[in-house]
Amino acid sequence: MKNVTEYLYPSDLSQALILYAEHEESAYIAGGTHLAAESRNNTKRLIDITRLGLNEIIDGNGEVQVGATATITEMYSSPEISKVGNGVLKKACQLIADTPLRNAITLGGNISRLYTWVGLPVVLLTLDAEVEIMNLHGERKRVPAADHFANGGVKDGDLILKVRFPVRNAWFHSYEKFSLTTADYTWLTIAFAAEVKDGKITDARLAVSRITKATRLKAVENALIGQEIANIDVESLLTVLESSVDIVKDFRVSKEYRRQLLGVLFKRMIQKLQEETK
Amino acid sequence: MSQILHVTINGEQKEISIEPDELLLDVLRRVGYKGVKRGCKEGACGTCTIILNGYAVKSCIMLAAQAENGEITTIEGIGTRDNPHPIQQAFVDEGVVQCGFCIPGMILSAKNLLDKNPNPTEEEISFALDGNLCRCTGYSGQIKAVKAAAEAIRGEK
Amino acid sequence: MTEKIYKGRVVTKSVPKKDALSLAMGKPMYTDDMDFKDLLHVKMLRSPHAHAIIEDIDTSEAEKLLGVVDILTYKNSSQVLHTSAGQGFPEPSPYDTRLFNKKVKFVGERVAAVAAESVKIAEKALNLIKVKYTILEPIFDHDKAIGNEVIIHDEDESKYIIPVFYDPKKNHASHIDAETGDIEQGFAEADHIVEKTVRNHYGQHCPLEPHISVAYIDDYDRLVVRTATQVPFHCRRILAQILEIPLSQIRVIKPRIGGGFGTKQEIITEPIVASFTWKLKRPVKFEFTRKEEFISARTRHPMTTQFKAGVKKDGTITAMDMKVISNTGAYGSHALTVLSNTGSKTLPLYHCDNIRFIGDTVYTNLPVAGAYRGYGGTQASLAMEIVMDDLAKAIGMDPAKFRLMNHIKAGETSPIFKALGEGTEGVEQTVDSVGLTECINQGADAINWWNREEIKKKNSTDTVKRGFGLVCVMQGSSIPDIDMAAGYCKMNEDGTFNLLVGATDIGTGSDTILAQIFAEGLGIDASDVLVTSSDTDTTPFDTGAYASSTTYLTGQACINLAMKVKKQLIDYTATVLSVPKDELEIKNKTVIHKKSGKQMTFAEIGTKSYYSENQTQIGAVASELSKKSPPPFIAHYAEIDVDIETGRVTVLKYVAAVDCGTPINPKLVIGQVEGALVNGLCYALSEQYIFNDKGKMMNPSFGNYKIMTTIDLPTIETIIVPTYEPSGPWGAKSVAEVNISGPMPVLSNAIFDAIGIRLTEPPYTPDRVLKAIQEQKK
Ligand SMILES: Cc1cc2nc3c(=O)[nH]c(=O)nc-3n(C[C@H](O)[C@H](O)[C@H](O)COP(=O)(O)OP(=O)(O)OC[C@H]3O[C@@H](n4cnc5c(N)ncnc54)[C@H](O)[C@@H]3O)c2cc1C
Ligand code: FES
Ligand code: FES
Repeated sequence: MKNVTEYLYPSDLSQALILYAEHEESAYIAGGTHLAAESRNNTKRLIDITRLGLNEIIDGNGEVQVGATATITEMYSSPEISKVGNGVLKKACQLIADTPLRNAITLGGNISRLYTWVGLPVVLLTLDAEVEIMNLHGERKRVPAADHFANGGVKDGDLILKVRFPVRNAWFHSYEKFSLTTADYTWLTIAFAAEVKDGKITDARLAVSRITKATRLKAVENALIGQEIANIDVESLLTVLESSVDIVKDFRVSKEYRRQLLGVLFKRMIQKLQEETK
Repeated sequence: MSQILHVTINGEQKEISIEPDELLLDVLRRVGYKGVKRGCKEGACGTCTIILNGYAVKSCIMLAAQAENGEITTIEGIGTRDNPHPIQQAFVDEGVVQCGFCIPGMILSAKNLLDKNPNPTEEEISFALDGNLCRCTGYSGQIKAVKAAAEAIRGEK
Repeated sequence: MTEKIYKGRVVTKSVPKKDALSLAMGKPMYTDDMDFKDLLHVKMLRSPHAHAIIEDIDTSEAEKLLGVVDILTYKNSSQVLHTSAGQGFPEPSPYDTRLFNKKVKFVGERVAAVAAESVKIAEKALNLIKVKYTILEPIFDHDKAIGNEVIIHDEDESKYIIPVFYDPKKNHASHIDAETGDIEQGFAEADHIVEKTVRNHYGQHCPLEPHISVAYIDDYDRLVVRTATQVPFHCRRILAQILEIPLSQIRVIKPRIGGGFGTKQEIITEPIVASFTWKLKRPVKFEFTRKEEFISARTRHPMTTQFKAGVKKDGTITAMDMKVISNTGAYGSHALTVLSNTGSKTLPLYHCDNIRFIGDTVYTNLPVAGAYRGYGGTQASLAMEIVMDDLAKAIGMDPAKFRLMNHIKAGETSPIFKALGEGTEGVEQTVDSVGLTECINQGADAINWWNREEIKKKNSTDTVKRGFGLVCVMQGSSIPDIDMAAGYCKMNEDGTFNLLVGATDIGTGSDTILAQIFAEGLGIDASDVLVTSSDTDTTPFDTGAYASSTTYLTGQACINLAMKVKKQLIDYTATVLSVPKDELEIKNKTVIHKKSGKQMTFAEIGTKSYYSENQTQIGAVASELSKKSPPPFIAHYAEIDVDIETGRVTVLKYVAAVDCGTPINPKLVIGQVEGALVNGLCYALSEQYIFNDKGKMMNPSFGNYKIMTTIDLPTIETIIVPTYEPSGPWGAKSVAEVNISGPMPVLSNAIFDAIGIRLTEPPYTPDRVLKAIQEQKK
């Protein structure tokens, strides 16, 4: 943050938007773990959004609403969060960075931009979460996670207010972060969710990140739907899986390895699904 | 543009002149809290760990301005020679302070845990210390020390 | 054989480390914790090229920047050829280094240093320096470096100051060969011969405190350098050499330091601050960033080690042949001595008459290697312990039994001790304390070695395979005939003592250990000993913290001190009480004359000797020159799982059984053991330098160079097997280095045990392991 000249503390949402709009080179700051570390950045004005009461976690009506400035630790230790997706959201929180970082990183900061290494976007995708955003004109909109990430995250001045996570405990959920050491940046993050009725998969979500920007693999999801749990055709699913991701370069680990890893992790998730729904 | 940071550090109210782009780590060291260490400045080693508003955080990837109206605890604020904090005492007793550079951060991470969970399992201790690298010790003694400190705090020892 | 074991009053007790509480309270004890008025900050411009000539360098724009005070380049700085290795004199490393060179030889080499009023200004100034490079072809592959058409040190002047082989025109930084017995004959007698070529990788020490030095001028206009160093005395000497000023004008002080592990033996930040301060007469600070620590501090020497050994059906090893190519990077820091140690710290471990060692160190355009805990032993143990397992397998003997049969025993010697020293001939010695049999046996019990087949069967699945591994490793304790260490002590009026030692406590606890050793000799408590260490003005000479020498060598100097003082205490009391000396004894901090019942407490002696009777200062100076280098021994065992679909190796349990002679302070011993072995585990499993094709390290950060944290740990069990080393202080040997060398081979052995695939090129990261599995299948 070399060029910052102002750090401001708005007292409410509308003031935050005004302060943002006033200056061309504004940015909201939440945990600061990305912003403070960044040296190439033109931001001049920082607007602190952690004092606007945006950190509430509320259990309501089949969904859990999490305020954008809730930290990963607040999420991880919240009983409401453990209810989401049979604990899958909690597991994703557990595998983000390390304790003092989780104490600072916020939900909003984790999903606002397309940092491929971060942990939460894939679970937002497999849970069909909705991102509630306020634009500079003070308009609120609810954006499905899939659209939010497909659109490249927040637009200039958009402020994430909260995320609504459907509880979806009737589904099967699974999440893996594969990294060299536990607190390392991920090599591959994958989340999988499936709805099973009468021994058949009736709906499915599969999302990956790091090997590509966080995205759902719809071709695989479609191929899953209708399969009988007892006779899932794993081989052909793997073929679909392979052709549906274009793995990006990562100087730490080869594409070839990550291609295989993706297959193995997915296969194991299917096996787990089969075991759990026996 | 300089601004005044209002913070409570180790129970003392302070007004510190800061630049808006200054890191909390740099400010704390500048005003004399040398127990806050600088091992990487990239959020990855944990030697700069402090407690802010009840949570252990890394002060090198945080702007000082973020701490406005906050309460900070640094290693200097938790014990004295005559009355060390039980975690400090346990680290000494277990012989797990080697070069010592990671220790302030490690102890504050441990305090962050024990303040919330006075009876942690070994796994919970490992999890709480996972942001503090130590190149000297191999960690297992430090995990033991935190366990011993927890017992001392609970009055079992 | 059963060894004598020393049970002490103060030693063998885990007394609290002297500085532990202060450090745990965050006291300002490190180099950077002292504030200086008008301090200047240094930032370094570094070469972006692996091999290039600086055609021109223009600092004029940078100099104009407000707050920039001075800029050093090759044009205006000392051009004295030296080595940064931080060794004794004459150094066994080539003089091939200057502060700044016209020709840069690796990505990260110093090009220009800026001293400015703030870090920010200094950083800004770096961007304003214009450098014109002519880029040269680099060489990165150390196996192809000798005689390559790319010549790295072609400037003609570099040289050794001791008579050893050196051929920089062929990128050849050192060569050693040694042979004992008849190697051909040895192989001819063998029933089985195994040969393996292994390659270890670049790795960094990663002290949590990066290199840092502050220089200032004191009230006598002398240069004071406060610095994170392992070798304050060598540092002073080398600064005098580089700055070309009298040694007496320099004082080097080592405050507490945040870890060293070898990298802070190098004199690399000190000459920069010293040069600025001497010129500008202002305090100057230079601290490495974490990135600089990776690219421009020092690393472990990567090596290609070829090891061939023969064995008879009955288990007798008939021949051992080791060939090493060591990569010292762009400069030859420790090029020769690490090389000789690859042989000398490994080959004596097993009985064998016919041994050959051939080693070559080469220059490449990669980061500079240097001293690193393990010092060659780590590299060679990988080759040797893999081959030992394969030999045992070849004759159908259990690897533990094979090692039990062959390891060196107390009272024995190895021809290697004489044949290989520190780059030159070594010193003959017998090893008088060997607890390795016990280490192997106790370790085997702890890991359940003898039931391992059952455990493997029970716990392996289609995709995850269980495996067990074992290795033995030795090291040395100090450099015989070369290392000298000294101490002073003086008695205070309350009967306590000041102990002043040149030894460098780098977090190892040597201040405490030395206090214990001294206290044991005088029958006082460790808390009665006030230790001051590592200040070239106030403490006596010590070679420094390297070669696993401090406990063994400085410890012996402290015993010598205690003995001298003991004699003084008796003489003094005899005179004051008018009793015969030989009727006096010392007990409970009191000199007692039993016959008459007269006595003087140490406190009385202290007070009277200062103020009232036969006034004199009780105190002494003593030193010790190392005569041998008794090896500590270890057996390491690992129990692991290998996931054959992802390639992930998970260490479940790790047992280290350690013979370090008398454990002076058991808790500190455990700290040394576990710290080293976790460091070794990280090096074996997750640490690596990733270079691009231009020789640039791509991952110079803790974010991408991975060290384990608490949650990655296996269960670790440390077993101390005490022995008694007759030449050591209270029977002690070294312990600091040896344990780092176990993990790399033990995991290779365990992986082989689990899946039958031999990995010879660590780190065993999931992708590399999976690749090896798949290549095997082909
Ligand atoms: C060493 C290290 C390791 C890490 N490892 C991981 C990991 O393993 N997994 C993982 O998931 N993350 C990891 N992170 C964290 C991750 O890289 C980001 O730093 C983090 O997610 C940012 O969150 P923050 O709250 O600190 O955001 P900030 O730094 O405050 O902001 C980041 C961006 O988000 C914007 N923003 C923040 N909140 C909002 C909002 N409510 N509305 C609109 N825009 C907003 C900001 O303007 C800024 O552009 C790691 C970070 C570090 C430093
Ligand atoms: S200095 Fe803050 S994490 Fe390393
Ligand atoms: S004690 Fe040295 S880094 Fe932990």
